[in-house]
Amino acid sequence: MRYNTLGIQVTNTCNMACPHCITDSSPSARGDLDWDEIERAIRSAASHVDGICVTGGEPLLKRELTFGIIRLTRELGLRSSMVTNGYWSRTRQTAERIMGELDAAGLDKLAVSYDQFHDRLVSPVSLEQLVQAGAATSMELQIQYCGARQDTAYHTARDVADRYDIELTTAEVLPFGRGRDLVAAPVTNDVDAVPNEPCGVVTRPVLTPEGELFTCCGPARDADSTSPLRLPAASGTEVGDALGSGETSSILNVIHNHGPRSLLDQLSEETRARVTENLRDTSMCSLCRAITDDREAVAELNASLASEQYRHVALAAVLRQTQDTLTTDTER
Amino acid sequence: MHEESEPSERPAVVATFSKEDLVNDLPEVVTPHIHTVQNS
Repeated sequence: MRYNTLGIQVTNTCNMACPHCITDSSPSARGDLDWDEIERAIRSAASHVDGICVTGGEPLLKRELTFGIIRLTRELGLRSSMVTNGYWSRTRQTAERIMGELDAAGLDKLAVSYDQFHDRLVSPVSLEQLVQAGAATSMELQIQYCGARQDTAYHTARDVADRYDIELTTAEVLPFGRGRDLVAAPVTNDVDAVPNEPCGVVTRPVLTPEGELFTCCGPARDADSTSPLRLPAASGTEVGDALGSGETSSILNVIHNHGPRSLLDQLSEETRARVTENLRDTSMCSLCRAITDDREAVAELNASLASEQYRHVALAAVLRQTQDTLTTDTER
Repeated sequence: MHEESEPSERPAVVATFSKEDLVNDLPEVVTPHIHTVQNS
């Protein structure tokens, strides 16, 4: 499989402490990457990814690192993106100044998180000022909403996205990170309710402030030490080499091609029952973690998928080509 | 005349598949499920 974007999580610190945050970021959270680690990781990863995304925590709390990443990404000919909570757009002047600086540094895409949790710090007016300032640049803009789409924040996000003709993405709150206390436990471990679709997150690896590298920018950060979602960068391996090992992993390619539900068929009855009992909810992420955290499940999968390893890799290439064609057709 | 790269630097073919076969193996839904939003 081909990676999409490498996330560089510059810091764990955020000026917000949202109850759904999968990275447990907050004003008191500590841990930053330093520039040497970042530069080495990006240069090493450059031939494995299409782009670099600055993320956190709140990246603009580490302004110098954030702008350094954007400039280096541009210098290497990769696509640059950033996820922010938009706290800096409280006045029109500040929104325009920072948007202008990001544009001048070469940022291709800015995604702003906005939902019922983020709107405690970022008002609808601030969101609109940010989007309005961004609309005057060449940057692609996106609003990222997380929640049940039944609150005022969703309607605000939808309204702003529609009026400025920008993308609004939605995602459910996941029972990981701080979100674990927010999502009610499932009434049943109904594995049939888990979506049976390709995963779009397993090709978006992330480097954390702790120097850990995960193949998935979702809820992988406390994964089992032997999980296939955890790539071996912490042991001194170059990030590019670690990404390369994931590209040909049978388990990762099957998650990419068909989603984690398809892995269940490869498991023994006993292991499948145990994995199902460990579901936190019926999201794909919960099932993926339940499988990949289970060492026996991983051993069974490695054994059963090994003979078809190259077929999974080849299918990933065909799937990616098909997905890219659909995206291009939609943009026309 | 251009220089030949060292044989060891050339990618090695480890397997070949018919694209038609692979297309038949594509999932019904090809749109990837994006279920969280840390990375854009």
